[in-house]
Amino acid sequence: MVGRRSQSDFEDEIRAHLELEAERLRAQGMSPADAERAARRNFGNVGVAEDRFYHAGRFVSIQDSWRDLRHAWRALRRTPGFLATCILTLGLAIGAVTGMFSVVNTVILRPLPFPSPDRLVSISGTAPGSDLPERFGPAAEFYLHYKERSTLLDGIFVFAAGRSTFRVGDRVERIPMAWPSNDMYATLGMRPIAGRLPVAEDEDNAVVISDRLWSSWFGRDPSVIGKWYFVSDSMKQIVGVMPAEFRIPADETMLWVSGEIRPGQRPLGELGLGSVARMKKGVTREQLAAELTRISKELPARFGGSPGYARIIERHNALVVPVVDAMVGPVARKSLWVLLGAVCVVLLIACANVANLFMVRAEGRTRDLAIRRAIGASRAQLVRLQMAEAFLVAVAGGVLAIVLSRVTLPLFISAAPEGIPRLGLAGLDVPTVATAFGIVMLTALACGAVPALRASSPDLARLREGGRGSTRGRRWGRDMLVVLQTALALVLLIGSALLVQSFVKLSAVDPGYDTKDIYTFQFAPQQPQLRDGPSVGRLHLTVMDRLRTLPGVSAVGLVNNIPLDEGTNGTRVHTGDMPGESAGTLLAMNVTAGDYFRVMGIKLLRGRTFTNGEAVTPNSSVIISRSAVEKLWPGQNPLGRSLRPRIASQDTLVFTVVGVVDDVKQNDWRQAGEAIVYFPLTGPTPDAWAFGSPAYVVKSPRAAMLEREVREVVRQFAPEAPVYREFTMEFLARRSMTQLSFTMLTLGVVSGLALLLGAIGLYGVLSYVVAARTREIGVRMALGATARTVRRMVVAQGAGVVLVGVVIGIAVALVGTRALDALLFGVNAVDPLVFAAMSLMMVGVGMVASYVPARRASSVNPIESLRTD
Amino acid sequence: MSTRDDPPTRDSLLQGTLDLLVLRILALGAHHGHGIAMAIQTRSGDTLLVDHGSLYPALQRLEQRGWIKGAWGTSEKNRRARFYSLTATGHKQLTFETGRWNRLVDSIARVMEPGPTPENT
Repeated sequence: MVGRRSQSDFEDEIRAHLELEAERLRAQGMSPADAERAARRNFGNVGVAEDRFYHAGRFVSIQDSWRDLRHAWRALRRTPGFLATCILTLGLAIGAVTGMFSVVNTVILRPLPFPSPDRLVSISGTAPGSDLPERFGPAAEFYLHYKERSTLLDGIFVFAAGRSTFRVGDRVERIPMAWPSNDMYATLGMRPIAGRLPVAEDEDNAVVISDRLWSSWFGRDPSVIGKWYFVSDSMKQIVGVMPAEFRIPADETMLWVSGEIRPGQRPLGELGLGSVARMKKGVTREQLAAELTRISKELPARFGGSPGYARIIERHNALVVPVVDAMVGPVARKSLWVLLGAVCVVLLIACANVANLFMVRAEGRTRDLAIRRAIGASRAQLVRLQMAEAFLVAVAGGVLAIVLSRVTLPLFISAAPEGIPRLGLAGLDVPTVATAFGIVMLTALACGAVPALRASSPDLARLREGGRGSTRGRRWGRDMLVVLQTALALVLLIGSALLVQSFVKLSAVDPGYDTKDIYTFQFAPQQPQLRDGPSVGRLHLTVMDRLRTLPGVSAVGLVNNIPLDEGTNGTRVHTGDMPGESAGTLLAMNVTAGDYFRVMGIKLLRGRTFTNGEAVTPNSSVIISRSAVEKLWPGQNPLGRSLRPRIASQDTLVFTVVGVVDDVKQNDWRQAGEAIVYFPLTGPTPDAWAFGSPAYVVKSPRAAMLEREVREVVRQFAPEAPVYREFTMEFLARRSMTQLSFTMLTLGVVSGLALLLGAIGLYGVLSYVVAARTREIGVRMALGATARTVRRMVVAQGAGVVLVGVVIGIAVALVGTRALDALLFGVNAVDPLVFAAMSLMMVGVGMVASYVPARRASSVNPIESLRTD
Repeated sequence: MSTRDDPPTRDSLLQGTLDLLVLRILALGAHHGHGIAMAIQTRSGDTLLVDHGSLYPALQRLEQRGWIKGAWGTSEKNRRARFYSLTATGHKQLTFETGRWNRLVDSIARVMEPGPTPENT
């Protein structure tokens, strides 16, 4: 088949014809002007011919059918209610999908802004059967060994990250920073936009700053490069500025301290570093993981270490995952996919609704369409008209969607849990808008195709009936749409009900401490006189004393890792009962002073808490939690027993247990309470005094309003110290659940929307059915049917459709809710109660949606209805 | 000279007939649209006047069905025009249409013959 000719080519041909004809007439003796006029007259209407060319044999094609669109627009404008409903429905749904797609695309799909990002992987390890966490970062010797021995790597680096002090003149803040090994820059393939990269000679006295820090602290002044500022623990020189897209290891990281890792510099087995490597071209993650696992077995032979260390290495398996996956984390990733899936379901429901509306519209036009067919409109023409209408509605919906997602995306992002990398960058970029447009096209097809094909079927018999006949065949299709909507809406409802249930259960968890009326903050003193442990201890005791005098404050304490904030370190603990070569028992470790346990409401089960004297003079007292007792001395009285922590294999003191407190859920309310060992402020090692900035806890009914007074107190004793991480415990508790509450709220909104759209769909179908059966209902009522029977008949019809949808929905949900597993807490993914409750609710909503048309049916006046026509 | 004075002629050019005539003319050789119209007129002894306005959509239709093929060329008087020629399928179609036409003419002729309606057997 030849390609289609263009309109202008056809016009050229007609022009050529007119010239030929005029020439012929001139040859017969006509004047040129007359000849031209006659030629035109002989031709007839040029416009009509061009018109016919236009319509001849054109297939369903949307492109440049400007005329169809104009026609469709006129038709749509005649039914503003229909138009508005369709555009709003599609706008909401497409907007939701566009927004979610933009987030998923930015956070998960878009490659990292480094050269060949697909070759960058995150390296961690697992040691099944040991007491180590399921997944842990490598220790320094892993990195050294991998870097030297691996044949599949083009580079590897390790890093630690956290917050530390940054001081420029009077401005002192704790800012997010990282301590990477210097090979980070080469591994990632990034250059600074100003200055240079750190080198080995810099030792740890150089920093590279982020573009953001350069702007916000220095106004992009190039002269800061080369200057020295106080960073973390000493004066360091700014040597370079990284570009804005350099966001490693986290979005908010503002500064990178220089450093090299050398053998023997760090104790063996100090796990928990972050590590990123670049694979050689063509290497797969599986190959790399196998190689790293294999060469990790050489570690004890090369570096030595305890038998416990050797046992861990024996079980060690290297894990290699894409860097993006490691940065986003499995739970956040799953949540985002679930939400994207949910909004896609809503889009499906919306499409079903709009298709439904289009079908009803096509039914209303049966007569009109049949007449057009009869007088020669081609099937293709009618299909085209329908498609043009669907296309217009979808495009308008798409525009609305883009506006909506532009407005709501920032809200969504600000409500999202912290720490999702690159989330802040999500916006309406080219791929997102292109996707939205793709969705619009698919939507137009989905919404327009069925009614269009139906409208064009050569059903001339309908003309005779005046478009009112049996509705059976046509209703079937619409019933299917309602079944689909009901099923999908039910799946979403069950999903969000499961999340709500989880949220309620999680909120009701007893973490072992109070969250009410507690204020917490940290400050980082940097005074020359704070040279030794006792001086630091005395400062903290003084500040606590002063805080206790604030109005409404009943108790004050401090701890180095407050629950639900920055995580807890672990330590291996030895008791006299363990064999000498044992690796010891892994316990979480904390350091505390003052009335920490009283403020937090942590129950003292046996013995006593630390005295103030134990905060300033070396001592061997230690407090352990209930499950630490179970681990160390099951079923025995631990008071007076001794234990020895193994902090990084250094020699440590022997401690005596003076008290037992209840377990607390230190980091995650989903987990069991942790086995914790609490040291006094003097710390677990003879030289451990120097930890600088514990978290204070202040008990007061005015917890939420203490910030200003507390800052004032700190300023009195340590004017140089930044005050930071100022929270209430209630806030920390809320924040620890944002992952769940955020997904719950979003899915809740989305499923509410699905329910509403589903109800509208059902209502639409039944209204139509009632309208089409007016005459039949009239006859029934004339023959004695009561309003009640008629209502029951219509409601039963709606309920039947909904029930089929509910059954299918339950079946889909049985499989689908497993996607939520990672978020659920205290409720089974196939909880029968939730399933039953949501199904009942769905049926209930279906009944209500049916009742309105049912009422209308029962108010049919028999005389009136029989007279229609 | 005007076609408007002669409605019966125009009536006789129903769609199917025009297609047949075009195919027939093109069987004699390639022609542009105007040439086809002139040829029909001449060969019919000036009784069939082609409505030029319906000729081009017809050509378009025939071309889309693959019966004729159009290409831009230069006319004998050195003018640019689109020349149409018959394709292989066009030839087949012409044979088929001619057969049908002859049968139609026969049937109509028989109907028009004076005399009683023959009995159905």
